[in-house]
This record gives sequence, C-alpha cells and structure tokens, in this order.
Amino acid sequence: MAISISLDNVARAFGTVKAVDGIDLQICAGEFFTLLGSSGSGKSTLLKILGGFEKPSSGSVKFDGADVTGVPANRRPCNTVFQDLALFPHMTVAENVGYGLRVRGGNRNDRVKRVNDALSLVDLKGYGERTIAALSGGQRQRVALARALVMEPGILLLDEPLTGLDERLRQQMRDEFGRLHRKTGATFILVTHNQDEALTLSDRLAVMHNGRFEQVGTPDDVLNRPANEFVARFVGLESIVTPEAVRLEDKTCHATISGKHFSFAAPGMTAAPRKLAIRPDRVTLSEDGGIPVTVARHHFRGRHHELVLVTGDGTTITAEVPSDRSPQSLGIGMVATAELQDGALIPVMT
Amino acid sequence: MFLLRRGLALAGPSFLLIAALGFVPLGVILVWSFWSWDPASYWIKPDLSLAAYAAIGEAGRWSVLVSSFAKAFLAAVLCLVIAYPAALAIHFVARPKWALVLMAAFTVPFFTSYLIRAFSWRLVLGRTGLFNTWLMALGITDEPLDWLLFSDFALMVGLVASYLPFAVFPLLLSLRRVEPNLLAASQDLGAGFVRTLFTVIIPLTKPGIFAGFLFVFVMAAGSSTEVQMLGGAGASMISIMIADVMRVVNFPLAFAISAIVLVVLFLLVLVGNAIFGFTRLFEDFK
Amino acid sequence: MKYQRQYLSSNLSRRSLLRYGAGGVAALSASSLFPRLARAAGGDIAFWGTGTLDIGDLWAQAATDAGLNVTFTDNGNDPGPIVARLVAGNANAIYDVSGLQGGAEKELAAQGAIVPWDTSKIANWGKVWQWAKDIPFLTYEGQTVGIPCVVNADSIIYRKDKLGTVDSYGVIFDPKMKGRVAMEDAWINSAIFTAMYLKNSENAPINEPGNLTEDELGLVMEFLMKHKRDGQFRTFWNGWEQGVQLVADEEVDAMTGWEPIVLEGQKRGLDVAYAAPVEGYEGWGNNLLLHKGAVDRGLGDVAHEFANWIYGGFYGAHLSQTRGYVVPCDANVEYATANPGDIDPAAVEATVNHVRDKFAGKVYWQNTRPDNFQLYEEWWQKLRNA
Repeated sequence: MAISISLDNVARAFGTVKAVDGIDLQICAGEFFTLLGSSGSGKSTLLKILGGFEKPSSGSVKFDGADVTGVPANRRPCNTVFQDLALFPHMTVAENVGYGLRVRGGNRNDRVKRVNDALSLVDLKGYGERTIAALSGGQRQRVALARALVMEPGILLLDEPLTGLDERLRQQMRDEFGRLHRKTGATFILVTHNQDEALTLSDRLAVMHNGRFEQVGTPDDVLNRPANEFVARFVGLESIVTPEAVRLEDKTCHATISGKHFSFAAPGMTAAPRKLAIRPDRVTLSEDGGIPVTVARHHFRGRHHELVLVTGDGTTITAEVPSDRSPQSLGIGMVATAELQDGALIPVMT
Repeated sequence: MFLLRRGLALAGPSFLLIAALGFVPLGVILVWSFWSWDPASYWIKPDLSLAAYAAIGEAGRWSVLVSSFAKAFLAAVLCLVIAYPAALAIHFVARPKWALVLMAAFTVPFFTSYLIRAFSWRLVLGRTGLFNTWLMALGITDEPLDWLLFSDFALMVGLVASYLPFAVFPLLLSLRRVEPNLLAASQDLGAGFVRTLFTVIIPLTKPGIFAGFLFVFVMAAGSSTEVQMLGGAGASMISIMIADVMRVVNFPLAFAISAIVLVVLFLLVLVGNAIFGFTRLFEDFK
Repeated sequence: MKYQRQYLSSNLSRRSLLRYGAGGVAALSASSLFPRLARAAGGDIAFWGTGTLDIGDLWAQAATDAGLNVTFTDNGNDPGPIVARLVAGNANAIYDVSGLQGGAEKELAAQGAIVPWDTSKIANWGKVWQWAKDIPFLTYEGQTVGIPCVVNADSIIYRKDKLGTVDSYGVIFDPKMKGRVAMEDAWINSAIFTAMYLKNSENAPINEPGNLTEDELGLVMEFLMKHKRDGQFRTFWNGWEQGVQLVADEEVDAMTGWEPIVLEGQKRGLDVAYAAPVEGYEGWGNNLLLHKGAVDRGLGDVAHEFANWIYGGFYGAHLSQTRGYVVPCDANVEYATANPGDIDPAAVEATVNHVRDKFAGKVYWQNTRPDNFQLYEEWWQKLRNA
C-alpha cells in the first residue's frame, strides 16, 4: 500500500536558475514527510517531480525501489491535493471524486460505493450531487482530499493545501490530515511554508532553501537542534547570539553571554556550538540578576507581549511576556535584566 | 445599491445606443415584412399582409433558407473540427513566440480581400488548377475532376477557408480560461491527454465552441461571394436570394426573408446560450 | 469596361444583404425628405450612370468644349434599386441625368421620375444613327424619354480550336457540350438568349424575346431548368473576372457573355472567338434619361447641352477605345479624323464599324424591365433550385 520514495541527486534547472539543486532523500513507506520552505525555495518543484508533472534535469526518482523518473503523472501511484484544489467546476462533487475511478474503469456500482465511502471519510456524506460552486472553502478542501484518497494512492502529495483557509479551518483540516494519514497508512508528502503545520504533522521534515535541504530531521531535531542559523530563524528562533565563551563538558554545554554564565544539558552533542538561539517564550524580565538589557521595541501580540531587548553589546533578544504580566512596566527605554529559564538556549551548530 | 444604480446610469447610454443600432432596424424589418408593395408610391404601405411570407413558400425560396442554414451549419462544424486542434496547438504546444507566429499564420491570409481569397480557390480547384494538375501528374485520375469546383464541395472549401479564424479565436480565448491545474488534476487522476481533452478541456471550452460556431454560422449564412464564385450553376444562398428580390424591388419579400433569418439567429443565440452558456466567455476571470 | 458595372453591382449589392434590407432603404426614404438645395445655376451636371460610362479625368473636356462641369457618380447598375431611388428615393434630388441600361424608361416616365427630351435642342441629334433612335424603349406616349448613349451587341464566346466555327446558341444547349458551357447568372441576359434560340431555331411560340409573356417565360425557363438539371452548365458566372477566368482556365468551351472577354482570352494565347449567331445578337443600349428634378431646378437646358456634347465625338471616340462600346453617331470618327493627335482615327473607325456591323443583322434588345419582371425573378429562383 504505502510506498517508499528514494531521490538520488535530483536536480531541476529552469534556464540558469536551479530550482532543485542535487537532492538526495529517502522517505519511508507510510511516513508523513514535509517539505518546508519559503516561496522560491524549490519545494513545489520537488513536489511536481515526485508527482510526475516535472521531469528532473538530472538524477532519479524511485518508488519502492523502481525507477519512475520517466513515468508521467497519470501513470504514477500517487495523487495530489493541489494548492488551489483544482476541482472540476463542470462536475458535481460525486463526479469530481469519482473522476479518477472512472478513468481507471471498473464496475459502476463499486465506483459509486467507493465515492460514497470517500465522501464519508471526509465528512461530506450526502453532498455528492452538489455543484462545486455551492460548497464552502472547507468543503471544497475535503472534496479535493476525497478525490485523491478515493484512488487509494500509495503516496499522497499535498501542495500547500491549507493556504487561503481561515485559521479555524486551518486547525480543523490540520487535524484531519493527521487522522487521514493514520487511517489510510499512505505516505504523505506535504509542501508548506508554515512551520506550525510542518512541526505538528510531520514524522520528519526537510527545510528547503535555494533548491537544497538545509536540514532533514524530526520536528524535535529541527526545533531543538537546528542545523544552522537559517533553520533556526525559519522555525521562529529570531534571537541568535554568539557567546563570549562556550565549551562542552560532561554532556553539558557551558556558555557565557554578556558576562553571565549559562549551562544546559546537551546529550549527543559532539562539539561545542558556535552560536546559541534563545527561545523567546523562555525569557523573563527581572529587576536584576539577568543579562542587562534595554527594551527597544514592544508589540502587543494578543496572548503575549513581544519585547525586543538590546544587550550592552548591541545583540537583540526577543522575549515573549504573557499578557497578564504588568503591561504598564513594559515601556520602551526601560532598563531591566533578562533571565533565561530552562530550555531557553538552543545550540545552533553552524 | 447606490453603486448598482450608478452603474446602470453609466451603462444606460450605451444600452440605448445598442438598442437603437441593433433592435430598431430589426423591429423595422419585422414590421415592414407585413406591409405591402404600393405601385403608386413605389414604396411599401402600411398593411397586415402575409403575402410576403406566403411567397417564401413558392419558387423554392423556402429550400434556399433551409439549405443556406444547413450549409452554414456544416461550414461551422467543419471550421470547429479544424480550428480546435489548431487552437490546442497554439495554446498548449507552442511557446509564446511560436503561438504568435501560428496566430499570424491564421490571420494574415485574411488581410487580403475576401473576393481575391474566394477567387483564388477557382485557380486551385479548377479543371486546370493545382489540384487537378497534381492528381493527373500522380496518375490518380486521367481526366480533371469536375466536381472539385462549382460544387458544394468547393463552396465548403471556400467557406471554411474564409471563416476559420472566427472559430480559432473564441476557442483560444476559452482555452485560456481553463485553469492549467485542472489539466494537471486530470492527469494526476490517471487521465491521458485525450481523456482530459474530452472530459475536461472540451466541456470547459463549450462557451468558446459555441461562440466560434455562431460566428462562422452567421457569416457563412450571410455569405454570397463564395457561393457565386465556387458554388454550382446558379447556386443560391439567402443573401443572393435577397439581392435577387431587391433587384425586382419586391421589398416586402426581402424583409420577410430577412425577418425569418433574424428570428432563426435569435433563437439560435438563445438556445445556444441556454445549452452552452457562451456568455460566460465574457465573464471575468475568477 | 462593361465588366465593371456587373461586377460591382452583383458583389456589392449581395454582400450588403441586411444593410440593403433595413438601413439602405430606410436611408433612402428618409433622405428624400431633404431635397438638395438648388445648385448654382450654369453648367453643372450631376451624371448618375453605369460605371462603364465614366471617362474619369476626360470629363474636363466638357468644361473646355461647352462649359459643362460634369460630376459622374456610379449608379451600381442594378435596375431595381435605381428605379426605386429615382421614383421614391433621393436620386431625383441629387442627380440631373441618368445613364441606364435600357428597359426601365417606360416605368420611370409613367411614374413621372423622368421627363421627355426635346431633341430639337440637341444640335448633334442629326448625327445619331436612325436605328439607334428607333430602340423601342426610348419612346413613351409618343415622346422621347430616352436617348441612346452607348450600344453594343452580345453573343457567345467560344473555343474555336475545339469547336470550329460556332453560329448558333444551340451550342450552349448541345448535350455533347454537357458541363462545358456557362451562362450569366442574370435573367436579364440569360432568359433573352434562351428565348432567342428557342424562337429562331426551335420555332417556339415566342413573340418578343426581350419581353416574355407569362407562358413564354415558363417555356423558356422550363427549358433552362431541364438543361441545368442535366448538368449542362459548368456554372453561371458573375462579373468580368469570373467570366474571363472561365475561358482563360479552360473551364468552359462556350458561354454567353461580353465581347471583351474574347479579347482577354486571345491575349492569353487562347484561340477564342465571338460568334455571329443565326438567331441574332442581344443588343443592349445604355440610354440618357432626363430627371424631372433637373428640370425643376432649371437645369433642363444644361442637360440638353450635356447630351449634345455626348454626341460631339470626343466622348464617343475615347469610350470606343477604353471600353470598346460605341456612341451610335457619326461624330466619333469625325472627331478622331480631325484630331489624330488625340486619338487614332483608324482604331476608332474599326471599333465603330465592328459594332455597327453587328447591328446590321438580327438584334433583340436587352430589356432590364420586362412587363413581368417580378415573375422573371421568381422563375430565376426556381432555376437556382432546379
């Protein structure tokens, strides 16, 4: 059922622009794998190469060990949920969902049953005869999912499927993807620029930049052991400091920042990191005792205040202070010290 | 509400103009077709006479109407059959530069006069024309084929060649409105190009298909040059019949024929729009 | 040349289908409400004629000779609309003199659209050949309502190398010629040719081929329809280019038509000739008609001066060389002889004599307006559908 994927040095150039630049990747059967990157990072091109809509300029694509590099999209055992959904406007919901089965041929009654099953799976039972125009955004999203899932694909490709949905629907569909992944057992490949989606859904993810992978790993790897500054920033770690001194001793990392000494457990680390990222939600302000800082900017973010703090040497540290904490005292220019709670420091390897 | 009213106010004058330019003459034709010829004033006089319509039933005029529409229908269908692959090629295969060249190839021949275009087919299809020369040189026939020219075949060649671009351009327009992702989706679900063509592209370009059909149909139904130059001996068409009738100043009959043509075209547009929704062609891109 | 008139009329009018139906006629009746303001008196003449009568820049000679400023406008040569515009439309308000294919004079005079000429006011009238003055359409209730402007006579163009000498319209209807002959797509010419053949060679009871009775018309048209059904005709042709092409590209071996086509075919190296049929020629005259409007505007005398200038020789001599048609009077040769520097006298004489010789034999006059003209159209429609 689920299919494993193997990419060997896959590249795709458009003229002189290398959209995908020599990618090697193994994805296990049944894995939920995410390609995370900003627009222009090459993640969509890579997805198209997987789907068979683009041919790599070089390299090979293997599904379950068989080379499919030259196999066109319509003969690949994978299906796609497109970014703009690409539902057929001239067909009903049932016709959309049953399209692939009709192309494949086979027993009509069986097809009807499977279409109904697929609609039930996405909570659209009884919507078969509606037209696409009569559906809400979330319902269309589900139709697109059902249309792909009814094919029982070994691989499901999701091309930024949640873009354009409102936040509530986004959360809902995100849960839906998790549920469907568990239920179908297929290999899911998600393309997104949204780190929350990537981190919450994926078994593993790849952070993509300029056609290359910056890091491939589990959400925990990426979040707690970012391979480099780019990855760190991409997952929301904006405050990156270079410690005055850092050393690794006894599986513990010791670092000096603005004259203050910090240490944290670093199991499995083989070399001392050059830089450290500071998680904003683990920074607290105090009268004294921490790193002396001045409040440079202040943004109210709803549940928390986002403070940009500047240290003596000009390094900026972002802190998130819960909304219920003394808003009056958070004025710009205020002098305070920043305390780093447990887990605030994250090593950035390069 | 305010905006709507404002919009109507802005559009009002142009609606009136269109009504004046389009519907008033149509109404006049319709009314006059019931009047009768007045030898004293050499014009028509108010009347409620069905004589003109009765005359259509005589002298085979009715059959000219029917055969004109049939020929126009055939020409429109043939144009679509030829234009559709051409439009597909321009839209899907050709790179932008080549698409331009291809479109030019379809358009440039139409810069010449329609008279010259129709006339040149006589030189190609005639007894000593290009085709017969080839056929005989290749030993396919010993004698020139007479039916190549002055026949319904030649007429169809002339009509299709004359009005082909009018089918190509609406098709191109409607093809541009088909989201490329829909084609990708169809392919994703297992369909090859041919399957996608018939299940996605053609259904979604129905408005363009009908618009192309309508353009060619109307122009072919109103053609006369092609008929006179390429058709068989005394071949007729609606416009030739009207000219014949005008030559003997039988105005009510000319109006009655015109009225029937207009009613047929009007019904065609209504029915076509109901089935093919071709006005959607003019709606905004979503 | 003659081709122009036919060509323009057939194509323009047929193209304009609905425009004619609505706009054209609407404009025609509306504009008659606004009669033209009287033009400055003196020598201005607005001449509304068949395109072949136009001599272009040479009209300036009329100003030099007689102080006449002639403005020529093509009338489209479609008799129906022309008559309608003269009777019910604005033509009488705009134009002073018509040059129209013969046949409609009686109708125009009866409707009061044209008024009689006073030939005593035309000094050159004496030079006009008598047989041309005797063209039957020119008089109405004893008065001269039309005077001849140009004449010629038509018959059959044929391939001499293939057919030998042809001297009868029978060649057009000969079953051996099936698919290799053509006639003109106009009842005005094709009905009379057929009637001439039936009357003279098959003793059909036909009195006047140019003005068939209901029975005669039925006889003629049934005969044509039978041959059309048998596939006798390669096509019916329209206009000069089509006519020439049929002969030049060997589509047909014989067809009824205009003499200039023969010359064009010979130019292309074909052995084509113009028949002198035993049944006679179809003579046609383009006649000058005096508009009632011109007289109302006080231009009657100027119009007569204009007619006089037409018979003065210059016009006829030049027209004979540009079109091959002849103003039926002695002045053409006289002028050329007196002005060899302007035009070759021998050439003018040759053309004039050639046309006059054709009229020496049997001639039936083309009639654009037979009494049963609407019936002609109805029959022609049946022929189209046969």
